Amino acid sequence: MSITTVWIVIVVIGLGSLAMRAAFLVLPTFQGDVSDTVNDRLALVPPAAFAAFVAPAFLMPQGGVDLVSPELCAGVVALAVALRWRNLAITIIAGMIAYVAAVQLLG
Amino acid sequence: MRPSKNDYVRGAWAMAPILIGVVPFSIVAGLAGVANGMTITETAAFSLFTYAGAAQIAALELIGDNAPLSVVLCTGLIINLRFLMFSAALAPHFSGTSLRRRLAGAYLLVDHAFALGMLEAKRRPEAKSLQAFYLGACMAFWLTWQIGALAGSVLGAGLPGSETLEIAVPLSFLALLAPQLMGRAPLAAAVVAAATALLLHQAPANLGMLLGTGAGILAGFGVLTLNWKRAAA
Repeated sequence: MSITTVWIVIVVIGLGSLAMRAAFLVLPTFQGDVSDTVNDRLALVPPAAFAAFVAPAFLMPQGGVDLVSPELCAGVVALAVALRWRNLAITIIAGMIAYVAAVQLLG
Repeated sequence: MRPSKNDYVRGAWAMAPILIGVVPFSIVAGLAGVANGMTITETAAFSLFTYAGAAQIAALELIGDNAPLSVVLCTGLIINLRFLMFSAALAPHFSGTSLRRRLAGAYLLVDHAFALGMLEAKRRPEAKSLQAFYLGACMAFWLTWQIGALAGSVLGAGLPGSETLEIAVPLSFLALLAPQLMGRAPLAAAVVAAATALLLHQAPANLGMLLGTGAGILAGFGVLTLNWKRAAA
């Protein structure tokens, strides 16, 4: 790819991404207090986005559904720990330990 | 209440465990740049301008495969369409703030900082301190990402593999998801989003994730509407 093309990629994806990030944050979309109705709806964005992100990562680590993978093992342990202790660091470390253990056992 | 330095530090600390997974991810993004024909400067510029791992890596791999320019651009932009939704969800917490602060919040917006911010908003909804918490988390992430990506592109394949550390990225998303699942509407949103993303996992440009998110939000709207009708009846 030529130098010009590379810079077109950098500038177009860069500015496009910034525009999407800024769309609602920078334009004065919401004025004053936001109603509970709107707040309840906006609160759905994180659970939906993060569930859509993690489901394939843990349930199909190699591209097909796999119910005995180290990834799924790590995910189940992490989810249980997250729901019980609600601590980010403990959850991530528990998940990584489960992953390493499962790689040894299943490997 | 003015935002105290304390809130920024709290945000940065909250981000700390997540950074375990971000380090290898950023190194991969830097490596992908030089491996697919970008110079170190171009890779750094890409990380600074685009600042989004999934989009950067996907675009770079397409460049390496000699895909048409239009495909590279569309893929990168479609992957980042989720930022529109994140921007909308964060916007109420930034209303009435200076333009500079809103621009910083927008440029620095990444998935993990967004999730941390939304969780903090449930705990401490006070706007100024929430913004400082969010920006502190963002800055810790930004610094880690830029240094990691630069290290990846300079040191190239000389860095050791780190599959164990890479699992920390989906693990941190899971840890951020768990506390969001309280209530019927968020739970429905998560289940429908996960199922849709699994069904569409072969779609190009992470469309499975984007469409899954959209489907999940619509399912959540449905449950909310039912709840409101029941409450009104």
